[in-house]
Amino acid sequence: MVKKYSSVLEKREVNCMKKIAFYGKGGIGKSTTAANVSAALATNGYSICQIGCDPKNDSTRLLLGRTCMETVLDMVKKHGDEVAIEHVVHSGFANVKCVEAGGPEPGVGCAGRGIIVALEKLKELDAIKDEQVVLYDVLGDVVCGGFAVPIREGYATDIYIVSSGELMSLYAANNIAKGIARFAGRGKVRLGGIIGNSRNIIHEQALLEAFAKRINTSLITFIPRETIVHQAEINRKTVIEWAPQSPQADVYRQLAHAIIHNTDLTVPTPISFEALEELVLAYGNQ
Amino acid sequence: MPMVISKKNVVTMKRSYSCSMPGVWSAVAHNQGAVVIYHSPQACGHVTHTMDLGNHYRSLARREMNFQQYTAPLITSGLKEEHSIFGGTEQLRHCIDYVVERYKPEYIVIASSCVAGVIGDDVKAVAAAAQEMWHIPILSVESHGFLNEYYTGYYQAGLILIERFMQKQELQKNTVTLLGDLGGPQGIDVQEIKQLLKFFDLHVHCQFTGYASLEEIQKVSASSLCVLLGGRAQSHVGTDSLAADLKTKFAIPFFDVPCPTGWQETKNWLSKMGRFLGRDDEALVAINQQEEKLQQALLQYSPKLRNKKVVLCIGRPLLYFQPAWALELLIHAGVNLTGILLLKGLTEGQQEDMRKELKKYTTVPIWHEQEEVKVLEMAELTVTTHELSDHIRRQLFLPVIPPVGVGGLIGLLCKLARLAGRSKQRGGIVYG
Repeated sequence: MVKKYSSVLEKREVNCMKKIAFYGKGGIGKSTTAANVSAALATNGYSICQIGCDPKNDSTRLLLGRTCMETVLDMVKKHGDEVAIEHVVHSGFANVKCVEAGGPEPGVGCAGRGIIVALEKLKELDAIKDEQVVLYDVLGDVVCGGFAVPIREGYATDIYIVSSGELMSLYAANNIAKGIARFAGRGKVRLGGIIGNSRNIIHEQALLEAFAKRINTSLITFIPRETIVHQAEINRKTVIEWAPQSPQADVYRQLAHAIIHNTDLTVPTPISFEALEELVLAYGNQ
Repeated sequence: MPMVISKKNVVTMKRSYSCSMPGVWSAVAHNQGAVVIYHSPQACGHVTHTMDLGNHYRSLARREMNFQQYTAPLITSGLKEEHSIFGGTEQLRHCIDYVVERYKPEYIVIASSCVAGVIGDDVKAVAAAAQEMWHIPILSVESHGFLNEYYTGYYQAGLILIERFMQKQELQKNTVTLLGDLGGPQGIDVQEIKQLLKFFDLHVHCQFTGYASLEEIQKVSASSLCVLLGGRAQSHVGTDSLAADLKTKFAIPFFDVPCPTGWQETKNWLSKMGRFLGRDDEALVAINQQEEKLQQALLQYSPKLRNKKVVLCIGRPLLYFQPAWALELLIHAGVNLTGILLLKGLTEGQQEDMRKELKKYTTVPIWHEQEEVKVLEMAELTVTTHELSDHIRRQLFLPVIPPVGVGGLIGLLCKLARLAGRSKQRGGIVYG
């Protein structure tokens, strides 16, 4: 049962820019969650910029109501040194600034290098200097150095891992935790928590809580699986926009609130795959 | 104290770490009708350019320039940042189109760089499609530098030329393919090897991988014998592998003895060749003729060199300089070797190794450059592995690859005699 949460987030002053990144297994719902969190914060008056770090360019689709075709890399390709902020920063729902890094077609080039170049270009353009919150939505796992850039180069400091209770989703989460632990030693990057995105696995929330505890963090929010998310998505909208009064919208607001006020940031302690298997098995039986 | 020009302070190379793309270029650099494309950033071409410039000056110094020689154009596809993200295959396609239209090549060899390797450009597929479009052979060599080094690139290119252009055919009696480079067919070293092979009625009809037209490459598989050139250090591994491949594919035997330097090695090389071919009598004739040739040269040069005070300066580690051939040269010259000076560039370990090696052949005193010895001041001639910055001193610069055979030995004796015969106080350097 999801706790009923106030439909209006309590806005507090954010003194300095909050730099957040969402990681997680491919297809787990990072972009949907990110867009809903951005929308929840924006409707509560926060200035926010969401940056999609995925060559598929689909992170900001629900905020823009379309797939962004004017990615940073495409615009750099088109305009060269003449590229300007207005070419790459687009305004979405509730004035959320939307940026897509862009990248190569499947099977060619190097998407990781694309992320590096796109983020460097944004920095060079000083495109996100005024926002209170910047949210990086990063493709899948930390598969190579390029996808680690949001963690490694200080772009994001608070990392959230989106995961379900499925074994391979947790496996990816554990790998991401390894990446965070590696870079935590040399910078401010910390793990903010696990965002549980339900796949209706048995004892899923308890499993996610146990997993979070094992890797020295907490389950910051558990998002139940609801058809309203799908309905909003096929209409190219966030739940916040599509059904603002729905309980699911409240869940996203609760998550946004938790993220914005989270001070419990930790250096994760990833576990072995064998330990992970045991954990999943322990919660997996009826 | 000698001041060495352009010498690294410490020479510590234990093995070769280099880029394999110049190896690919080198394999076909003088093959008529070939054009090489580096699927790489523009700067990758610079390494090859520098290497080729070095070869150019070396040929010039040794008076081996062949102005008629074909040199394959080297074009880079010019990969940039955007290609490292979006892939560089389109850029390569444009580059191939440009090369075909501009140079009308008989065939193209594409060497792929580290960048192409990291981003996973499918160079083979692009080459295959372009080949279909332009109806000329377009060969692709995977030469990502992080996988290999120079000689691997050379070998891989050779292997692809074998696979692509050679067919099994009847072996032609007494025909030889020379495997390797050694300055090309016009160079005095290759000429010397050809002279030696003539004693066995062997005719060189091709040099591979370089310096060969397509027609000549196709003749390689008809050779009755392959003879390895170079045969030193890392280069040997590549040519040796090519020889083994040719043997496996076309049953061509190969003579795997390093090219001879000086009289003793030449004698041994000829003996071994005689034994290998089952022609000991011809070997004996060859040895006698070579000895006679040497004696005649000594009669000519010895009077100018006898008892001249000479110092041998060594700045190369043992891996790159075997002193035996230089000492043999000085013995034949009849000079008075007053000392050996080890130059500063050698580490302590390298000095120790060199001292041990030198003591196998000579008892003359060995000093280190840092010892305040006057040996150089007393010397009339200096034989050196590094140029010394003293314009008064008469220096014979020893080449990195020693000259081949008795002919090579005589060439050095001639240069040394010329140096000794310079008028009055005139110094300077002669390149061996």
